[in-house]
Amino acid sequence: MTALVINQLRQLLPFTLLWAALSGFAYLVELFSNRVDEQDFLDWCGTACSSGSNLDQLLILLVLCMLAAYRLFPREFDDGTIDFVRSLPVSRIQIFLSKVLATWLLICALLTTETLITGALLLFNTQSISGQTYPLVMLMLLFRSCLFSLVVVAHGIFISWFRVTGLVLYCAYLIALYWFEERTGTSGIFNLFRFFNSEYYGQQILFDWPAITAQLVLAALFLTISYVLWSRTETQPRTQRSGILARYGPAALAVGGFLLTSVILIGTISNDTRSGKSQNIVHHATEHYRFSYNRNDQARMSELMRFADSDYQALATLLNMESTPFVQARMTLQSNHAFGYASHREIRMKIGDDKPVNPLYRRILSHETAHVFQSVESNRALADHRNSVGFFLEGMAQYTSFAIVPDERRRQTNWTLSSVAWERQDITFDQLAFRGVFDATFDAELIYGLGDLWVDAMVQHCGESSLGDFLRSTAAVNSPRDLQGPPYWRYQLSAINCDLDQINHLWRQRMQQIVDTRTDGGFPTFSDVATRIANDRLQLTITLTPDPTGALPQRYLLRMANETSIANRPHRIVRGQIIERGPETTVQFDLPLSSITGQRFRYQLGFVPYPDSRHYFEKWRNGTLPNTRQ
Amino acid sequence: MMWRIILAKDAREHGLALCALTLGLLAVFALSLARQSASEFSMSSFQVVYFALLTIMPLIALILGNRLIVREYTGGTRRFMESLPIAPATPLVVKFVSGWLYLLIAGAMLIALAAWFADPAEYYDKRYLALLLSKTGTVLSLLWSIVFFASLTGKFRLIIYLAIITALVYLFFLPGFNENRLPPVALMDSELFALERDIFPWRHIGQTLLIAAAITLAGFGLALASDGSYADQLGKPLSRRNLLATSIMVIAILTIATSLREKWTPEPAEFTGRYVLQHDDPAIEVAYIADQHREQAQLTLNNLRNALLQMREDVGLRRLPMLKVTLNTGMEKRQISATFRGSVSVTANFADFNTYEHSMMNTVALHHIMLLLTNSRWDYESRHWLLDGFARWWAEGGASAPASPNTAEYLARAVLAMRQSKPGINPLLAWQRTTEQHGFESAFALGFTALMYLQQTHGAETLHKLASSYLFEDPPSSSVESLKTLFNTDTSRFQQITSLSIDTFTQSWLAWLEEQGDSPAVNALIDAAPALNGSVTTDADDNGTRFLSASYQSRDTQTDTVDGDCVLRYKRTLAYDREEDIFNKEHDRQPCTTTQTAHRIASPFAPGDRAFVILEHEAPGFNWPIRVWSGRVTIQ
Repeated sequence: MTALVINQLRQLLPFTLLWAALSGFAYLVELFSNRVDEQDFLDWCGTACSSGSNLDQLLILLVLCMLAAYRLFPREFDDGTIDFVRSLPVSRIQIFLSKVLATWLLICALLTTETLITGALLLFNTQSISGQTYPLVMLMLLFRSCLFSLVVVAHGIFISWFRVTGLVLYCAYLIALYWFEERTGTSGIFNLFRFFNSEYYGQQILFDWPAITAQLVLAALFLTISYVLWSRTETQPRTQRSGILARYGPAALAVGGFLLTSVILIGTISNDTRSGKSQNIVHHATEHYRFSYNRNDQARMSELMRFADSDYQALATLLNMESTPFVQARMTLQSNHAFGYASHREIRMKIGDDKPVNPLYRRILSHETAHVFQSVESNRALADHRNSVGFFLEGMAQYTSFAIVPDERRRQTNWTLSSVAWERQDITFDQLAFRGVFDATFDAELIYGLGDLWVDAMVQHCGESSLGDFLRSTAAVNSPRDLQGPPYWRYQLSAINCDLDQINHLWRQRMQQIVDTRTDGGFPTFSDVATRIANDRLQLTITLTPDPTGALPQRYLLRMANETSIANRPHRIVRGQIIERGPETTVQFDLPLSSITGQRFRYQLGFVPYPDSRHYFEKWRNGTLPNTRQ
Repeated sequence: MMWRIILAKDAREHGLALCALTLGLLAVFALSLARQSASEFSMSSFQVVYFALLTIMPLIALILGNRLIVREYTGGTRRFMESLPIAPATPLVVKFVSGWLYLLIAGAMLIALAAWFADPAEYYDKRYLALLLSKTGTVLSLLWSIVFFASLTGKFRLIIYLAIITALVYLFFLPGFNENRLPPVALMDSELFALERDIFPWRHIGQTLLIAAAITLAGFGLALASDGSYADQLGKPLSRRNLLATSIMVIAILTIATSLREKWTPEPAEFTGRYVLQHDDPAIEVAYIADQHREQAQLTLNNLRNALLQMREDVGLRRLPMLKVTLNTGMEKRQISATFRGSVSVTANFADFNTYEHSMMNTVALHHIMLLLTNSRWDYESRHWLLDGFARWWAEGGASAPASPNTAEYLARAVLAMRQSKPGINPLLAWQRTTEQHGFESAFALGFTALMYLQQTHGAETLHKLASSYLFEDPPSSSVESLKTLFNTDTSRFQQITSLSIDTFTQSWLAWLEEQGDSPAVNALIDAAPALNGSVTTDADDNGTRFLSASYQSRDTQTDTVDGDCVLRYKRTLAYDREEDIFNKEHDRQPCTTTQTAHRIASPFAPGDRAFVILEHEAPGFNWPIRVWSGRVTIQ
């Protein structure tokens, strides 16, 4: 057995060299672009040490393990060398195990070498805080990577029986996970991507053991099946003498898999998107739009279309558009999370059931059209800086849509809500101009109101023409692409003779004025969060303290961060119950434990401050299931 | 008609595998369509074609290249083909064309499937399908040309793929390079690819096809030149010499790329508007909000100009980077934020700054100018105390700094900090800990007093020499600098210039500092700030609500009452330690007490969260608070 393992290791030498070359290249890049004595533990650890799932780390290891697994059996069978191995006085199970063991041990050895090199490089950093090392964490991460490599090697040995088609099948598995997450919110413990989920309790790293255990059990199953498949496969599978299964197996499986998935998917897609049948869809072109909508919405659409072109024209005039794009507008969106969204010359939105059509939808069409104009007029340059300009894109669309379809009441409540959030949550322009950071800290939808207020300040300082000028200025060929956040804004605004600091000053002044003069709406504060588990449900009880107006809203919300690893799904929102005990008012949220992956979760607390306004959410908080210990 | 025979041979050899591959591709594509349909934010089914071109189609092309070309070249079966009475290019042309057609047909099938499964409300016409087909065909042609060429390079193909990926990643991160305007990236724009329904990007299609044609020709050239001997050589395993040459090439490219990257610094954007004060040499701009701030802005400009001129004169600097100062009335007074990249930008709420606060802002500005001049190297821990000290020293006028009206407060802060420090650790060398424990204000004071002492014992000239030895260095951003530092440590450099070991110097400076504490002005301040220890705990009540509590204990047992407020500041922090500070507005301010718990707040953090906490005492007489305690706690 030992001799077999050693022999196998010898065969894996090219793979070892490849790994060493890639790893060496990565280390060289790191050493050539950074000073090793300044690199701290997090720099080296990268995303493997961050909370949540760490896909990039996982994918690299996955590809390498697959490569190794594919070298084990197919080549031996194609070259016929397996016959020599089988002629040795060892059982087939020993041959199989030696290959698996050798590959896994080799990968573990390579991972250990990398960990040791990283540990040695960390010793160069002798600084008193950033030079600290965490050997226990490194060992635990190494251990998890080794377990992961065993799982992927098991997958690889199994799918390599299908040769190249197996890789496509594996892609299908990964996309199926994605699809499952999109539909249901989680793909459960069978999701390979949960393997690298990390949480922290203080400095203690917590792994997703249920998912890891499930994957290990599955890996054992795959190895068993693989043994059966490979031990019964004879060499030269493409000759007449080979078995029918070996000859037609891959194709049959691919055909079967394709047909099965197609049947399921055709059914699914038919249920979802083809429900209206083609004949129920009306395509109607106006001067500037091609609307597609359900025949049932004809009356409401006719009403909306009456204003569409004039609103379009008003927007084009407001922005002094150089070209007027023709827009495809699909009015069939069914979403609980958005009224509409837009992309390059394309809009998707809902029309609602109100009779007559709610003016809100006219404004939404104008809002989404503004996004199309932003894309076209900036020659898509804004898309390159969406992290820096996200608030402006939404704020400007809000500003122009309210200018074209006025709704003072809604705008005022939006502004008040945003101004209260700005004051209480200490929001700065620097945070607003980094959308990634903003969304991870605050309610992402605050950018609509905050952006509208900011654009209002911009128009006040630089004039209304600055909106269109800004869009066109970003399209300039010599615009620097590497600027982000406030430096980007400073640069772009200076190009149209505007001053960022003046705009920001006006923006803050306006919000402070709104906060100071507010007399209506209920904006309580949350405190004393208590968590408990009852009947497989998590209960969060939070004390409410009314604001100086004394009013308490009627609707309370808890937004739970989605736990998907790969899909992009909206967060789940749960309604709360108000409980009054004497002078103290609390709100209680109740949600199933199954909606939480692991032991920790992220959530936001919120309420609806005016009966007809949008919701207000606090910053993201962390939560921990009761009885979680280090 | 030999090409038919070759084609039939390839079909026999690879037909079944390609059939299986096609069906697998269709399964993957169907799944992707279902995923797209289930997605909340999807715009079009045709975006799946884009997704496939980026993910599954490169894999299919690689498999195809491997089967059709690599196997024959590395396995040597090509020789049999060469022995046939046909033109040498024929087998290769057959392989290229069959692979290309396979990919084009697969691409067309994907578009047909996407159209079939498209939402009925999604409008598309023949023009759109033709547009999509032309873009897909062009991208697949380029993909196949790359795979075709790389497949002919035998064992080097992996290196070629890696080089292509690395080059693309590198180009994408080049600040001055806009890849989105160039083919084929422009053709693969994430939105335009599927959502542009009218305009044919002829220029980008043409340019991409030209690139594809050039790469294909290069492939044919490689395969046919010298009767295919180059391709033969490449098909053999890599020799040690090849490996060595490749490694040297990789290192050379990395070195060049690193040195080039350092030179790309953007031009600083200028302030616009009428509320800006400017000075040309040294280049300073101060932006303010309204007329009422003009006086403070002018003061800021004058102070900074004087400090920069002094620094330049003392060490003989030829050039100084542009310094831009911005007034932000929304910031906390103590929050002075600074960034540097080509120029230095400082943002602060200086509308009501007093002399001390102006000096603090100038210190931060000088600190970042010196960081920029030394390619961010001067904040390495063993030399950082000098950076902080010099920033303070020049902000206070250089050689005349000891006479500054702020000096008494710096000395008092330094004395208090040192009385609080753990013995046995050199506070100058463990500067990260020193700064975190005492706050950046006290760290500046410590560095400043150390230099004041050095000035007193060795003269200002020694300080100039010390500063010059760092300011005139041009350290690279690579680990070469780390290795250099190993052989020329900061402590040895200090000893070389001052003839004192750092430990001897520290001991005598600390003794001197303690003596300074006896001077009346300093002593009065120290008396107003009684020696306090702090402690922070977390606990939970019966409901499970978590609390964060903090207490103060007097180190001097005679002190029961403490004048001034105490402030608890907190923020969530990482599981791993990094140097931190807190300037946000969330804090708890209470009258100071040593007899009971001073702060008890419902924790905004959950059990398991790690919080960085600071306790401060706003002692009478001091402009800014004295840090009592700082540390990290895990909420239990």
